[in-house]
Amino acid sequence: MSELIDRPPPSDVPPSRPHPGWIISAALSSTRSFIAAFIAIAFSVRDQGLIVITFALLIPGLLIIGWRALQWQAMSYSARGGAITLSTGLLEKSERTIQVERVQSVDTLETPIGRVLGISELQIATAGAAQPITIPAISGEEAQRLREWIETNRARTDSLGSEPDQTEASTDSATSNVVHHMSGRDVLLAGLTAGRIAPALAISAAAWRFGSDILPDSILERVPIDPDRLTPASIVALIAAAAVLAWGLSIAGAALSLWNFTVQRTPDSLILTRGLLDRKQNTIPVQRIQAISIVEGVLRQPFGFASVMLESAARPHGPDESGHTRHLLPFVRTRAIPQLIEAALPELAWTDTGIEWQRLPARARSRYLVPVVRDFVLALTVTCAVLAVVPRVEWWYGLSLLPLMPVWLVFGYLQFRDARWSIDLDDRLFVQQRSIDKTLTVTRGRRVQVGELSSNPLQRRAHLGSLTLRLATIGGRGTMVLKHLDIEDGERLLAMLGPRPGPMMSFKANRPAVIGDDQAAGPD
Amino acid sequence: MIDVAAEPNLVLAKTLRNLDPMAVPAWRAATGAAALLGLAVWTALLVVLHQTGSFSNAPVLAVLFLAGLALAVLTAWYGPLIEWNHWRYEIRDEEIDLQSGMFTITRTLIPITRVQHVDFRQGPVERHFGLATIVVHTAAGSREIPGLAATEADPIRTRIAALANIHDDL
Repeated sequence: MSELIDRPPPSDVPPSRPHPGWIISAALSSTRSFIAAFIAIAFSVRDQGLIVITFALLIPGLLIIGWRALQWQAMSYSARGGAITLSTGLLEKSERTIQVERVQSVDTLETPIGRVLGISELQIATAGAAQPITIPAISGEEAQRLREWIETNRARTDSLGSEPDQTEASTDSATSNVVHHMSGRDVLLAGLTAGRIAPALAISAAAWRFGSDILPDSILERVPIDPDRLTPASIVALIAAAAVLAWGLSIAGAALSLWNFTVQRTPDSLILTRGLLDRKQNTIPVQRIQAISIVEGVLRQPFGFASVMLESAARPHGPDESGHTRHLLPFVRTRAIPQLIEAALPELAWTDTGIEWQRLPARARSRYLVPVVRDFVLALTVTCAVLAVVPRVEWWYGLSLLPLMPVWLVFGYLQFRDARWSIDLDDRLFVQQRSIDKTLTVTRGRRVQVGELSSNPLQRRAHLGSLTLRLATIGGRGTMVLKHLDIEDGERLLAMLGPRPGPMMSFKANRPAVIGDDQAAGPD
Repeated sequence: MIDVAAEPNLVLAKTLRNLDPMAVPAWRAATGAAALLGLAVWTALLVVLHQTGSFSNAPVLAVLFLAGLALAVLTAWYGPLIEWNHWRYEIRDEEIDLQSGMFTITRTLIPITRVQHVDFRQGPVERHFGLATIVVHTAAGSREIPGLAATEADPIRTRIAALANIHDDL
């Protein structure tokens, strides 16, 4: 996009209507919701000849288009005076304004129909739970112009809490460079290891039941399943088939949402583009990024892959995004991450060797393992008790769960081992935690909104506490939890959070930290 | 009486400020009402069990009733006391420092620049005891400081609002 350099800064946008293509796309989408009515109409006049059928369908169709045209005529958006305004509504008018410095992200969504019509949807989101301003149809150039207008009009405040960056100031003001592009192979692998197998299995089970509800019995009878003659082999085959189907769905889902995933960096923003049918583009101002988290899923960690999520205070809207979390790098080699972050987000970049990790004291280990054993024994007891009541099943069948216990214990131990944190002189805060996936959150100490250190009576006896640090990303991954750390370490970390004047002090644990992967710091 | 303040391993720095002592009777009134309700439900359950004949062992029922009564009295009387003893707050130039909790004691730190707005709240029970609650809102949820003397709560709110009125870069 080097041609942008020569352009003058984008001028204000006077009140203008959305792209007229919206009338067609909106009419089509409402036709979809009235499809049953249309079929009913066609069905009731089917004997009246082609002309009557045509008119019977044309008249409501024209009515819908007319209604949408009136709605379109009542819509207008503008960008001037440091604010973006959208007015809508034919009968009930509404006008929403967002101050440009409050903008958290600008997203465009291009549907297949929209692509034919040359329009996309533009969402401008602010912090918190408020709905974003949505300009429903806008041409590609106009969307680009609005994005540039927002970027140039935004006051250049500090980025991610760091000093104004010299490397940034020296670059041209409107260049962007591609930092990362996801290959088709990566999309495939991302789908394979997404860990969405369980939900996908549920979907295929639901599809099966739905299928058996609507398909005629004659077809089902030909399916070689006889409930009375289910052998173990056929059950295994069924489960395997379901797993393959689930995996296929997972890959298809990844392909739909992650196809052509591209990360671009402009001086002030990150631009994320992705999608096969629905193409999305997110523009996120760097100073609005609350944190990034590196998630090493169980299926990915053994192969050295991870995904990097981006946490912002804006709430993205879409079925595949939860809370305030978006993909920054959906599927990358774990050891390539520091260089990629260096290119995409130099404000937050770090080197793995430069982190002075602080760990949990060794006496915390039992606090991770004991609850696992307790919960497991409880689950085992309940299972056996239930089985004892069920006829034709022996209670001790429940003991077949026992081999799972070592797996759980290993996870408990990994949760203990992987919990660690660090805060450096640049106020970069690293917190690593594991539930099932290992997650490393990188942010600035000053980004923390609320810090909590809690201690129950058992923890107090061992002088341990649990630390919870919350970022402005309610519902996202922006909550960092360190369970069972030394109380004084927790208090010291708490005291270092929030914006503070003067230089940072380096975090010193109250005992020497032992470096090495398998050891925890300190004596028992 | 349980001397909670003497408990050795509290998380807190002892210099933080206590809530108004009137908070204890106010909370006792509120938890007492809730405990009475719970006790009423418990008693009704025991009476139904007895009347329907599905469980009519009178001594056991009496013990169960007494246990419920004891639990209600202990909760309503000592619960507020323990909570009051654990509650500390301090508003500093850079942060709001809170500590609360009955069994699990939680220390909460809110950097003052992260405060988005502050509410002053006073329910009927609080009004009767001359108390008020301050609610501090951040982008990551809100926290309450209950049991403040009403005359004191207003200056505290003004102070937090003044301290928080700094450039916000959320």
